[in-house]
Amino acid sequence: MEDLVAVGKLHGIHGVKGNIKFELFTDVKLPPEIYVKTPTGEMLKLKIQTIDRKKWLIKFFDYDTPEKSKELSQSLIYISKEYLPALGQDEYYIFELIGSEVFEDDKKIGKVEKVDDRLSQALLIIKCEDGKIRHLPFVNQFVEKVDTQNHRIYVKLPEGWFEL
Amino acid sequence: MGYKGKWNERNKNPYVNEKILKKIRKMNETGDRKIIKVWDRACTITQEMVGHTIAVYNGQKFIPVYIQPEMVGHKLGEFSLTRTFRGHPDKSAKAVKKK
Repeated sequence: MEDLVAVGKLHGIHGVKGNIKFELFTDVKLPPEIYVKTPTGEMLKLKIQTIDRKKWLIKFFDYDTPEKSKELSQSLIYISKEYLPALGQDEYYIFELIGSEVFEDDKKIGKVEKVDDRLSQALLIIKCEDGKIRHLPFVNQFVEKVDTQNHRIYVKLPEGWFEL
Repeated sequence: MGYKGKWNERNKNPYVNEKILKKIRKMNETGDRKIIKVWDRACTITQEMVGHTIAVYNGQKFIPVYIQPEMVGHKLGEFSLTRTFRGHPDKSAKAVKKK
């Protein structure tokens, strides 16, 4: 249960056979059994009956009616880390970055709280040691090295960054 | 009076804040790369700004934007979003690329 990661979300129901619309955050092939975290916080282990990648519909065993499937709407899809595809150079999963400690020349600056990826240039949202929240563009010029195993990010901050 | 909008758009020069441009030109001469705080979100990004970091105000705080060549011609405000970012679900497996 420890190495589960969120790869998608279930949305509303579709049709009368218990199909549910879903989205995936990353290009991953879902295993036959997945975990679903309902909005109430309950973790369920479900078996996939059918999956349609063109219409983005999914159906689970024992969820044959729209009334029953509705219980799963707005739930998050979790799978084990081992099913995730390997990424290319300079690509990282968000869960690898969140919680990492940020260092500049062996001096701790803060911790990554969130990663804002709404624009082409992603932003690391860092909670600094002084309690302030500052943004840092996730570009080669500022982020020198990402150590995913030790959860550390080594940066070279631009002049005047602490005045923001 | 006929519709003049299209003629005007074609013949207008892009709006660039002169104070920002003056600071950038000064830094280009000295080779400095200090963050500049900017409130003018409508200012167009020019070729001279490439390689600089500009902190663009989004109404709440300054968001640093590292200017890359593909941003030339866009406005500064396009890269500093005004809506609050709520974050991803815990342990989200969404991929981000370092540019």
